[in-house]
Amino acid sequence: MDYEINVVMLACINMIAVLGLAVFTGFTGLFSLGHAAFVGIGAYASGVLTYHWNVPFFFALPAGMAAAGLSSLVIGIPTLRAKLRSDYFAIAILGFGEALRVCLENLSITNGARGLSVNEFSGPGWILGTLALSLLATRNFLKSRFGTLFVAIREDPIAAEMAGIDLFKMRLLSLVVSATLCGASGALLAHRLAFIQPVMFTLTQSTQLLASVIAGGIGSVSGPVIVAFVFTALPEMLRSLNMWRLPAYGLLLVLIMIYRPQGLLGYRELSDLFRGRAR
Amino acid sequence: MFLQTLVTGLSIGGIYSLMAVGYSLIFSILSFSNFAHGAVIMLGAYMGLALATQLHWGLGLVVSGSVVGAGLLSVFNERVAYSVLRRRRAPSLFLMISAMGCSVFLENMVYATIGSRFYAFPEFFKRKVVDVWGSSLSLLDLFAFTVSIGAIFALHLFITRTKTGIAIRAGVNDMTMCSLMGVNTDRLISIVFFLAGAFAGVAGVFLGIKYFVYPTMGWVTNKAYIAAVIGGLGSLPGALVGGLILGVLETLVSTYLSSVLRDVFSFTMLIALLIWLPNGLMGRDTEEKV
Amino acid sequence: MTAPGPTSLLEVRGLSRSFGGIRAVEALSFDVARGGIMGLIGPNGAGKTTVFNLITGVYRPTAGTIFLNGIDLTKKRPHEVVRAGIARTFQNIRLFNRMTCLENVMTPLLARGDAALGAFFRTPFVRGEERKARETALAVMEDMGLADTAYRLASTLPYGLQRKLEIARALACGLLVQGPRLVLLDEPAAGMNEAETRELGEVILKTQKDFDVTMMLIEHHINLVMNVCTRIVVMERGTLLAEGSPHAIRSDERVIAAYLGRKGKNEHGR
Repeated sequence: MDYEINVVMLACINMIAVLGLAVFTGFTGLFSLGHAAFVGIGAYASGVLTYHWNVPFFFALPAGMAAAGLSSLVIGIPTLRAKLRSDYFAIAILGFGEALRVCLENLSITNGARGLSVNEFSGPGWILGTLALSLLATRNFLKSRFGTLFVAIREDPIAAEMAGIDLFKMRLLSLVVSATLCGASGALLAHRLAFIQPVMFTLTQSTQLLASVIAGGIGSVSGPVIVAFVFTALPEMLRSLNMWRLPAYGLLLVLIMIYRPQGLLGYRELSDLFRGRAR
Repeated sequence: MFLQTLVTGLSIGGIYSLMAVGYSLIFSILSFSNFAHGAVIMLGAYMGLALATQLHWGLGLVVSGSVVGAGLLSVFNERVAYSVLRRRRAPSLFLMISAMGCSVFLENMVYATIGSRFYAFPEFFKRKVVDVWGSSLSLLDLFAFTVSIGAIFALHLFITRTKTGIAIRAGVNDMTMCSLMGVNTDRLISIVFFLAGAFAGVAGVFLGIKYFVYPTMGWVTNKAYIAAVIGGLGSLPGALVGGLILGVLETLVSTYLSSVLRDVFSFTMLIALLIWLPNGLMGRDTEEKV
Repeated sequence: MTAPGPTSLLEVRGLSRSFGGIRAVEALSFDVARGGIMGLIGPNGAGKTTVFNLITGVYRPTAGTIFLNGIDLTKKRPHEVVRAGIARTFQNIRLFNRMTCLENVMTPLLARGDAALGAFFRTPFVRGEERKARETALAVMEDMGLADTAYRLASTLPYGLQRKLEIARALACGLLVQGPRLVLLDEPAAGMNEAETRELGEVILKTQKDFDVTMMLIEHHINLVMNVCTRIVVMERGTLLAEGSPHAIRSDERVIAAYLGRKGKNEHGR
């Protein structure tokens, strides 16, 4: 039973990060190959606090979120201000992730590439509580005027700007919110596994996050979150097939683009299905 | 010391250029960044490795085999993963995601089947060193540099002098118009992907000889992508210049500052350049038509 | 002669823009008086849309200035231009396809909202602001005869209604602006038949009065231009060819030669 609980908890932690990326890629329409970096920043910021200074997890978790949110400004301000093409932005944020990995591997406070052993703080209460709060806050946020503005930007950035939307500000806001959610996921992950290493937050993890968002459906919250759960839980249950997980992700991305670009629940929510409403 | 650094930088830059050409070619005709290019380079290296170690072919045959193999792989990649999207006129973001998927798939298939072992090519160059103006240069570096520049020059001639090349340039300007004029665009795109793959094959073999062959060696193509962006995506001279500039600057940084900072430097440079010169040094204006 | 203060709403002076050596617009100067509809016509490639793009900040001019009601807009970014009182439609319709028509019209109103952190908690303030935007947008749609499309997806509208919806969204942009407003319409009748064009002309005239806005209109349907415009600017190869009342433009020799020429002949041939 312990094992099953563990798997479900990991899946829930992953769901928070995917929720974050869904806000950015699914709703604002920017493609990121570096969101694992924000998960990493959340993990390391909170981990360093609890490890070196015995900060209670109650404070370390929001600190991890804040660190991730603030660090997103470092990459977001220059690149979003310059209105980079979407593929240029993707590679720029990938570069940010790489630069971060190099830093984490060479700093002494993070114990370098060997990794940091922290205490296990995040029990099911913390994880489920954070997940529920994140889902609620994100739902509210996307229902508010910001959600409408994000979707307008995704649909047509030029028309959005000519509707009076400050593209830079709104895209940056979307990035900060999404990075903050990833930071929460990272802080929970660090104190669940009780061990973090720079290699846990690289392109591979970013690709997994992205695969969940795209498979779950652009413009949907429930789709990516459901897929994130399946994507984490399924391979854990089928340990022997673990090796084939990544090739399967890759193949899935190609197949989705060819046969079902809208993903599982593109532009819809789970609740819409019950109401029989499509949008 | 400085001269040696410069020449080493140029030789690395030559390989970057060779890889950057592939990104630029495909970008110029389909306007998307083919992130699967790195995986094609990696597979090109494995093909070369198989020819060299299993069949004991010489360098010339190994390179030719890898050129053909990677070229065909690249065409196959386009047929399977992009052609449907292209005909549906899907947004370039979709093509990019599909390319990303191919890259993840191919890389991890190699992991799952061949494994993560590092393989070395047989010694084609016996670590020979040549003396140029008082600095010692490895024969391999010189050879790689010469071949890279030669291949890019040959490509330039092909694009500017032959009928097919001119058709490609027409396609770069206006794909729809080109197909209305009776050009078989599917064939044209296959040729472009073959060329990109062929360059990937050469680059893969050189990378494999210089370093090792392993599943994630395609990672270095992120540098090539940066080089292509520096030069201006879609521009062949841009790919050459971008590759050389990046190679030299990077080598200077790792020699005089710190080798740890090298990759951080490349990405920072990319971001800075994109902000000041979003179209690169020689790229076309990509401002969206309103 | 009349009351002091700026008499023209928009002042364009020496406006130039080149793209890689090609001069799309060169040393263009004209004024748009407050009220009424100014037509901007000229052959294909004359640089008309570029002028709209320069006015709205989509492109930066290489030289020249643009003033709206005495405010310098030359270096403003598009959303700042919108907030100063200029809104526009696009040559090839640009709607937010996956949003409802109502949301399309609400977007400019929401773009200037004040809700911030409260958005995470759906505070009464946030809800109130949204309700107000919804009511205002519905009122605009009512005026434009789009009320019954409110909850349909924008992409499902027929072409003519999409054009109208785009105009409604542009009008909504001006609702939060203090002071005079300018709406730029880029070929609104493109792809429409005679009957549809005539109906659109009536819509343009009506909304111009109802919403008390000044309009600029790029259009190739010359009858539409002659019917609705109070003044006309004619462009050729990036420069100003002629400016005047529709009547004066119709009889201007240079304009007939450059632009109306063929059409003029056809009319005589009848």
